[in-house]
Amino acid sequence: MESKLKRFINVEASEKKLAIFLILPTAIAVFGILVYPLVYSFILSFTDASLIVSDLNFVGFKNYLKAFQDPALRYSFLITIEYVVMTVFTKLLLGIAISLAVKEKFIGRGLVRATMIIPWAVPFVVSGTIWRWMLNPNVGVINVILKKIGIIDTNIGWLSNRFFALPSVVLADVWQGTPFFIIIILAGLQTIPEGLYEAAVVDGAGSLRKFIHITLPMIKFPIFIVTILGTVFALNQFDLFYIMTRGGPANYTRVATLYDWQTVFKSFNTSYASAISYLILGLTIVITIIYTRILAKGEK
Amino acid sequence: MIFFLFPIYWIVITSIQKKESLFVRGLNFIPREITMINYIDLFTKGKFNVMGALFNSLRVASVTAIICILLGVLAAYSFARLKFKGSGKIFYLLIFTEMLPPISFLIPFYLIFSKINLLNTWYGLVIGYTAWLLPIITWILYGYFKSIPRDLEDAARADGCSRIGALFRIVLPVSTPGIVASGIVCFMFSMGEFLFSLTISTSQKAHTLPVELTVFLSKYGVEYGKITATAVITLIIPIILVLFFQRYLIEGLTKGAVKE
Repeated sequence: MESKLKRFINVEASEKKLAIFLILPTAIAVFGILVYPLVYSFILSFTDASLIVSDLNFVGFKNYLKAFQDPALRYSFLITIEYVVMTVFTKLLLGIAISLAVKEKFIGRGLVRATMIIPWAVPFVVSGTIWRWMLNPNVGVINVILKKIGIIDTNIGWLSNRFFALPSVVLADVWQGTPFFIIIILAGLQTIPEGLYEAAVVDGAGSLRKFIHITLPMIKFPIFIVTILGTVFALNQFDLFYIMTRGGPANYTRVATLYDWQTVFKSFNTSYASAISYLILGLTIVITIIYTRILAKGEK
Repeated sequence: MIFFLFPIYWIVITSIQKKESLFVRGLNFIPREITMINYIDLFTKGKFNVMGALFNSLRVASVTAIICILLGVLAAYSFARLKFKGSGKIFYLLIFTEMLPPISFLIPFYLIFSKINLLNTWYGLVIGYTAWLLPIITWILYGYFKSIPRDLEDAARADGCSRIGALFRIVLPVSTPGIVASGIVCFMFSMGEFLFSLTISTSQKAHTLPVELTVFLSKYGVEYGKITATAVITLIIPIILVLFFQRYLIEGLTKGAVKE
């Protein structure tokens, strides 16, 4: 009896050692590689470092204060939030709608699914290029088609127009990112047992009620996942903006990430840029916490 | 569906047309003349480094994928099957690092790399990408491993197999979809990553494909023929991967998202 217990404990201990051992390489790689730069830039944000001056002084919170007083930065955060809200919302709506449509079996469903996933495989820089070309005012295909259908009669400079620039980038991102939403939401939809729907029909529920009371609650978790991932990725979006607008007509599409990049490579102010990046990080964390709270509340 | 496919079609069409015919007004869904001159120029003219960039991208992507899978499988298995006191916390910490904006890393990486001579190197990129991708890969594989019933492993261990043995002989073969999915995600990300590569590669020789693309954007206007040709080249590999492996991909990715 005692030796069995001893052997059990030994197995436990060696399993624990194994567990740690297996995680170690990954933990070292991720934390080791990322921690030092993070700390470095954190410290940097409290200095007045730049790429042109070689000496370094600590200036406390000056950069952060500057950030709060910088109207350009505030504006760029505004644009960022606009962008994030637009893309996540659109992708969520489209994602749910298309998932519902594709859920049922129909001829060619496999083909549709296969083609739907293609935009996801496209790197951001390529989508940016494609859409930039299609939205070209003079020879872009979008204008040509719109004119043919009769929606517009003169060419619109999509990316150089204050009102259309940001939505154009949103369009490119929605084209690219909706497949991801669809994949996850569709998978969630497919785990809903048919029996639930049948029981609801017996109880006299119509389509809308079925949707609200059965479908939506069952896909709460997938929706949470795609929303939060979508938000985080949208907050950090850089490539599309770099390729399509570089900040757009009169900074109308200069999101926080772009502004940060410009601070480094145009103003050479690495310390301020570090501070900005930490502000972006802070925003991301806050939003993540809010989301998690909402999910937790929803569970009750 | 048309919405999704049309841009791809359009860019391929654009890349095979002569520069002049691109700027003709009017609508041609099917081009009147086809030429491969854009592609040929890309590979022969010295100013562009598309071949080099392609090679760089492939090299970085494959090495990153291999390392990520190796390390990710081990870690994911540990999180999924072997629990110990801090494992939950470490797991969440890993996921948390995923949410950090790449911008935060950009400046320090650039400064640090320039001091230890890692700029313009392909392994520098691998280091950066691996650190970034490992959490996601671990998460995907974790979800996948969790969805595999324990009975399989328990049966093997009752037959005298060790934990590690069970991992290699039972769990891995069964999780092929998950592993393939992670590998492809790694590969696709590395091939398409732009910001980090842009910052790290200051010389054209070290460009990866996405960065090389921007060579064609200049103040004087965009060379659409060439840029779309480069874009198509950048596109081909990820799209082929996705088309061939989509079943694996979808299965591997969604097991983690849905189960909870």
